[in-house]
Amino acid sequence: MTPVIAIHNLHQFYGATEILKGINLTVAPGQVVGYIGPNGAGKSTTIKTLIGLLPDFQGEVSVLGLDLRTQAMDVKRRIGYVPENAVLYDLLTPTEYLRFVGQLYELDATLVDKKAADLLHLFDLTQHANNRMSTFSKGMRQKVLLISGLLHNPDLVFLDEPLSGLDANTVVLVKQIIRQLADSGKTVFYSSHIMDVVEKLSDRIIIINGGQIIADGTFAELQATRDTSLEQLFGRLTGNDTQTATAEAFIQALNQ
Amino acid sequence: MKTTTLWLIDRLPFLWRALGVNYPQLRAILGVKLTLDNRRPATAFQRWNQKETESNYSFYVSLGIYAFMGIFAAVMLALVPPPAIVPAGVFFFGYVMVICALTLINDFSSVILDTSDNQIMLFRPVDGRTTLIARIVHVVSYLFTLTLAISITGILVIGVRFGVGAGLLTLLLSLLTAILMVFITNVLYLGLMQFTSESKLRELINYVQIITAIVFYAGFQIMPRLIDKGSFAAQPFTWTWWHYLLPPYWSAGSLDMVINHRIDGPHLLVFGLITTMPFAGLWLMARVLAPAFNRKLGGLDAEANAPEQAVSAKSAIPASSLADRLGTWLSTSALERAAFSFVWHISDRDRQFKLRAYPQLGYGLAFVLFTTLTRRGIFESGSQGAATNHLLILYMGVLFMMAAMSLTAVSDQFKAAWVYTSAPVTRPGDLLAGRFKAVVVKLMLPYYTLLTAYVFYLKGPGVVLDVILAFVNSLALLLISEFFQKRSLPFSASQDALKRNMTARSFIILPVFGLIGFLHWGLTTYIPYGTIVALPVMAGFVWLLFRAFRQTAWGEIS
Repeated sequence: MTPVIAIHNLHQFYGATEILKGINLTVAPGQVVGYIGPNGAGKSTTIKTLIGLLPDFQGEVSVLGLDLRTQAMDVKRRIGYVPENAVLYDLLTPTEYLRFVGQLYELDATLVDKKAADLLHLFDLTQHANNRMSTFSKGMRQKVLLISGLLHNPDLVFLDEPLSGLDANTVVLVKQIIRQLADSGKTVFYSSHIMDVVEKLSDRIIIINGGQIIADGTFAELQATRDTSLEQLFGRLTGNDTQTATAEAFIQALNQ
Repeated sequence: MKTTTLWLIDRLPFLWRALGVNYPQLRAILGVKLTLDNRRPATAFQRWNQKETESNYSFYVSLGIYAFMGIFAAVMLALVPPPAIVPAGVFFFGYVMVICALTLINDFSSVILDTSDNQIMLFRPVDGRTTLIARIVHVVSYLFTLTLAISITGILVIGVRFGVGAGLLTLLLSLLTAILMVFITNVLYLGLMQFTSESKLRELINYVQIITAIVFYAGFQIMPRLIDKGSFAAQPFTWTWWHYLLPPYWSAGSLDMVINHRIDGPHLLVFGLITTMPFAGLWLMARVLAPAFNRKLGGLDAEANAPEQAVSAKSAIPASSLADRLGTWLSTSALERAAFSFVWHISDRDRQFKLRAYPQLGYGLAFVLFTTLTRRGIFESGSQGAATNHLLILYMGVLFMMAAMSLTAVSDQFKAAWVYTSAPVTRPGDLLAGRFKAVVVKLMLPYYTLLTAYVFYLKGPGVVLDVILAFVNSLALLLISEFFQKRSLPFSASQDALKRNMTARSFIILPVFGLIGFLHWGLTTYIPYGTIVALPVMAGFVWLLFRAFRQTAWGEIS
């Protein structure tokens, strides 16, 4: 089976700073991959490279069997992406925005309208479908963003912090959606800071730190060394398991 | 606006094919952008429940101003004898060009260099060519309207004098000039992106914008003087090689060709240049420059999000800066000091602030310089006309200071002002006082020093008392103008709030401004020792005003 993502020795720079220091990674179809790491480890950079936002990379990257350097446009057509910081044209209504996104993918307009209406309904946004998004809460925007990233029914979905701002019920719903997307043969690649979600949802967990992959496997495999939660494991692997002591020092500094 | 633009681009499928643009996507992007423009200011007005149609109000006001200024550009077209149409045309099209360039640099650079689109469109299957052309068409749709406003008088004048055909040609030439300017500004930006490190680019563009704005303004002031008065004689225009390098000559030459039926080598050449160069520019942008441009823009964005590669500080305790030391020295309370350093630092670093404030000051200097130069030319030397001049120069400064002062109240990040209300601030007047002092020390003192140097150069140091009194009076005017408006804490209001405030306030403050200037002039001219007596009185007045200003309570702050 051809891998959905094949990365060989990926290096990425911002100016002179090396952000990704040789990433090697293969992802098979139908998997939910949780991609975690501390702030500034290179999570978003990896995802942005994979979706073709940062074309000046070193190394070999193929997505859905297509070379990212030469066939970026074909890759973009078949992947979905939901960015971390909810940027959208919030002066538009959800319907208008989704129609616009549909046009960018050159989808049939009537189909897009129908699909958008159905999806908005399923996310309880029907009554807001024709209101401007500038009045929306973060969770409502996140719902529209999720729809806009999945509207063209992509084979591979990248989600950057997909659950941020959502209320508890929607979190359960989105987790179910992610699971069922993978069960239907699609691949979901997502990053998150919420460890218990990653622990429960992912078929495979990849931990990145300082631009390099430091752990890769199912939760059971990662756990094999010692029986512990992902949170503790994460802290230990990324060299940051002194939180209790740091918290004490923090309180002391406040009391100065 | 939206319907017209979309109708027009629907009529040009061949152009989009030639440029290699994905037309349905282009149309979708443009449609959304124009919709956003219609709605953008509306959000700011929603509190007053005004109709959406009023959102474009300011755009129409500026159209009116452009049309009014266009009248002056067209005067020469109306007066010169037909054979001397070239110099008049050069002036007219040069004017159109300068206004286009200024508008592009000042108002539309944010549209051309917009990176917010990246996060919405870059990961979708839209190629760089289409996004760049969409951006350009978006800008051009506004630029065409403005160009039309500037050139309408000229078009009518030509149409009436030389027939409808010539009028239509003038219209066409004006629009071509606009496209050409879009191309030139884009190339300018791209050139900058090629040759500088990306992290410094935004800063650099900022300075280039300021400098270009001033140079263009100065150039426009000088242009009429460049045109030899002799060339208005009714004799055919003689072409020299450098005329072929300047686009206004291309347009003027084409006009000459049609009006005076002068079909020869040079005229055909310039006609060819003006009709092909804008499209060649578009083609070059779409085919050659677009990928580079978008990659660089993507880089800009990435750079902005990149982890800060700051000089690793040994400790998080900030080093004491000049602003902090000045603040400690000049302020009487901690709040005042806080506002002082805050305004000082942000005015150093905020790109938007610099872009709005410094060109104002530059224009001010250019204005002073050129009006006095013209005056001197007219009145020769030492006459009555020049005698009042130095007061005018000094008081003109207040206008620009008022603009700068208002700018320290607005910010794109005005929402961050929640910190003022969540903190236990009991005396907000101290924050206002700190803001005022920072503007005076940082902007007004250097600016007045420059003005003073120029005045001394003109009149000699004998006018030193006038200079001091003018400075004190300017302080008073600045404070009075603050009293006439909703007072805002540093960087706490949105840009729209400023615009609402501006017009009304100038109507109130201008008479006061005129009165004080006039009184000063009267004092100097008719009352011996008047200035010396007035000085302590005004200084006391300023002190009282400032004290009242400092006592501003929460209720008086917007």
